[in-house]
Amino acid sequence: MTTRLTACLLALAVVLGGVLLLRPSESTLAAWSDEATVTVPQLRTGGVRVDVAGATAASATLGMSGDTSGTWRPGAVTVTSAGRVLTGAELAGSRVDYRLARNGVCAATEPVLYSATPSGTASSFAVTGGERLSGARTLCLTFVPSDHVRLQLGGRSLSFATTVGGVATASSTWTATNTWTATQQLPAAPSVTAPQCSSSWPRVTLRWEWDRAGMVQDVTRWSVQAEAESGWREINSLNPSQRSTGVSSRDFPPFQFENTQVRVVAVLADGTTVTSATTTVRVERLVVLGAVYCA
Amino acid sequence: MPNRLTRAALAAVLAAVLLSGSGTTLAGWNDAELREGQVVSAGDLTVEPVSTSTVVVRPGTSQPLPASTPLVPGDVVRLTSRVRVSAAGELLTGTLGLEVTGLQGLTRSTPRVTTTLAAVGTRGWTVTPANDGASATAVVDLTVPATVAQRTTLDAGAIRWTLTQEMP
Repeated sequence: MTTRLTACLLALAVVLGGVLLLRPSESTLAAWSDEATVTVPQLRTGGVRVDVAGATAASATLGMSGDTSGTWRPGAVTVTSAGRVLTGAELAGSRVDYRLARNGVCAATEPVLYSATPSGTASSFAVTGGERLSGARTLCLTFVPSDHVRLQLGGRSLSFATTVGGVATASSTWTATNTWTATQQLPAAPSVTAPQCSSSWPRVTLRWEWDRAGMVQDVTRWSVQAEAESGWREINSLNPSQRSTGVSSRDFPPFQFENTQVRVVAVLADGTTVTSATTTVRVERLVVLGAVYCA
Repeated sequence: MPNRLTRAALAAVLAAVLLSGSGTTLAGWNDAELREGQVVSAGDLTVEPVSTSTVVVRPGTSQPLPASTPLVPGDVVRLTSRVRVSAAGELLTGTLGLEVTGLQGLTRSTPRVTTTLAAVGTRGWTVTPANDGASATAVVDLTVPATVAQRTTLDAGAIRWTLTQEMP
């Protein structure tokens, strides 16, 4: 009796389990659906650039253009002479100044806005000072050469390549650069003319002229030199105001009968020298007798 | 002769089988009659775009700019999408949804949806045959961040409208 009851209950459980497994469930229900995709059209971002216009030897109109506004300033300058990049040491003591033009005219009376001071072994010099500018502005470049540069590079043409960096107001990652190149001629180097010889037997008088060429320092003394066996020998040292001197046979060795080169050397405050071209004189000396002639 | 308990169990099994819905296996009799074709109308549940516009709203400018305008940081790309739903059928209920996770690259705002449909949950709207022909308009603002690169193309992605039938 108990066994039959158990069998019936098990059979009932199996059937009910089958019913539960086989009955329709919600996961099998199909539902309608639809969708619509709306795509954003391809977009593109703009940009900014730095413009350099109307460049002359002394000025250029700089500004930014593009899809948004921005500010700019000169960042660095490189100086070349005859295609060779000059180092800071070669330009030591010099300055590259930048001013804003007033009414399109560059005037030295305007305040210096930016400046670069070359030094050391670098060949690119940071432009410092001032604030970033906006809009198109005409910037003027002035090279203020040191005495050293006037002496070493006087009369040569120098090219100043200034990189101008711009950044968008809306994003610091939107940057642009351009280069403004200005070429300027340096004033002639300081010079001493070759001494001119005038005869006043038994001596000669040497005269010369001095062109300071805008140097800060001046001559501290004149050294009149004659050609010697082992180079040049100073035969006279004169104060800086003098522009002439007499030369006699006593200024030469006791036995000399030959043409001799003479020259004048300007000795500057910092010890730098500026040497004239040579002039030939004839020296005839026999111990206490002798004369000097213009050759 | 089975006893009473056994008969009760058999009756329960038979009842369960009959009630399980698997009657197809129990139908022994059948009949067929050819009738002339009848028009059977299925229901309808669709969503379709009506209009889409993309403009650039630039701070400081009074008029929207075309989408082809080169973008700058701070610009807002405004996507406006209008869809119409169709719902026909007895006891038909659906839910209109809007997914914006497909938008990328730009800073996305919370979509603003204008519709006469009744809202359900977040970004869901109930659609019934009474709403057949109703429309919904979504506006999504995408702001150009300051970190975006200049002179580059942007694929801002897409939004997706979904309309799904709810089972009764």
